Amino acid sequence: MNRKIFIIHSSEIIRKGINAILRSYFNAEIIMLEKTEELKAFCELKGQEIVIIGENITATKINNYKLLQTNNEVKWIDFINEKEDRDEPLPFCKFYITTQTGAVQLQKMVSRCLNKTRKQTQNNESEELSVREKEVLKLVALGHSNKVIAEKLFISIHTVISHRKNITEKTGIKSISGLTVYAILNNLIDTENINPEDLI
Amino acid sequence: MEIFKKNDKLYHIIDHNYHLLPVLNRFGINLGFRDKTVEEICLEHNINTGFFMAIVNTYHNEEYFPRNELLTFSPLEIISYLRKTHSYYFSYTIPKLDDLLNRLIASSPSDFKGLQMVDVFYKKYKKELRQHIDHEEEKVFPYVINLVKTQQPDSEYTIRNFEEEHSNVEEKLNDLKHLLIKYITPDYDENICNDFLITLSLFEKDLEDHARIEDKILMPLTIEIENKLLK
Ligand SMILES: [Fe+2]
Ligand SMILES: [Fe+2]
Repeated sequence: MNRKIFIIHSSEIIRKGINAILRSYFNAEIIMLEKTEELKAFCELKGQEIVIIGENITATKINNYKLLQTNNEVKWIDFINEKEDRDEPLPFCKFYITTQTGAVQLQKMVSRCLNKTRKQTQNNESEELSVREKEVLKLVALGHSNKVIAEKLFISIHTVISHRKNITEKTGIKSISGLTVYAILNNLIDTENINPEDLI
Repeated sequence: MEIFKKNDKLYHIIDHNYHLLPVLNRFGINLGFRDKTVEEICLEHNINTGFFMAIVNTYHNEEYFPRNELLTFSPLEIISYLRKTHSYYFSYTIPKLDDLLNRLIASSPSDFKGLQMVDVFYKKYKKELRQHIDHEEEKVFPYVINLVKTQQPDSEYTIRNFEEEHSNVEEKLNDLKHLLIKYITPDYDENICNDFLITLSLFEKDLEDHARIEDKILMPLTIEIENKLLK
């Protein structure tokens, strides 16, 4: 499934700022628009995972894009301009942000918006490892020792070691940080709540 | 497998394996050596010909490792070569890899997550390598030099302390290669990626050779000196 992130805001520096914050973290195409109406040009999209960060979203605005919402998995993030002074986010928006929102917070929100579909596709990827090997790899990447992994999976340390040997043989990757990158690339680790830089 | 001899023309050697060019530079040999043989050039530059040939041949052939011959050389000679190699890595190889990786990432219009992860991995690796080499430059080499020059054993430190700490710094380069070749397929500039991978592979090979000289030559030589002094 293709992913797109729309950044819709009248201010160029805000558009580009959000783009800079998000682009290195997501494997998604980012499209920057000045006005919500420009979204119409994308109504033909089908079967995509879409996050729309829009300026002062209203129910009427969203209703113009029903087709987009029926044919795709769309999540809205409302960008509230401070001067508008709105306390509550709109019910149909997953999150809202302001100029006070931090970069990491925003990354987490977008990652949560994209998260659901990622989990569904997880099983189709990284076929080269067995289910058990993936479990072991995940725990290795999270920094656990063989002993802890054995306890968590109710297997012997010996079995853990032999799984690790197989993982390295299959992937050709020996170091823990290399295996961590592999695990992240294959979505074995939920990078929503963990900064990948801390793991690698 | 070809073993070069001291009567070979240096041109012939370079023509066979141009990856030896940086090795020449580490000995202070520059191009423009006409038709001279290795021996002639070593004499001119005041280089121990036997040592030069041993280094060139071990670098050229992975299987070639004349351990007994290598063990006849002075630790000071070996350290000088190892130091030049270290500085080559940081003044040339690493900046080149930095540049290629930056260009590779910039060439990918989709901002693919994979390359970003590779970048994080590479940066952490670089830090580790720096620590590894700093430790050798600041602790290990001065220790050996001091041992050779004063002929006095150190009261608390022996080379075995270092041997235990000597980590494998090539392994992660190999992992990086696997990740890029097997698991990342974004739309980057393939020529830049090729350059990056070729530089990476050469670096990996150079480091292997370097670590082999440290582990199998410098280490036993130093242990031998320590044993003599402790008697
Ligand atoms: Fe070294
Ligand atoms: Fe070393």
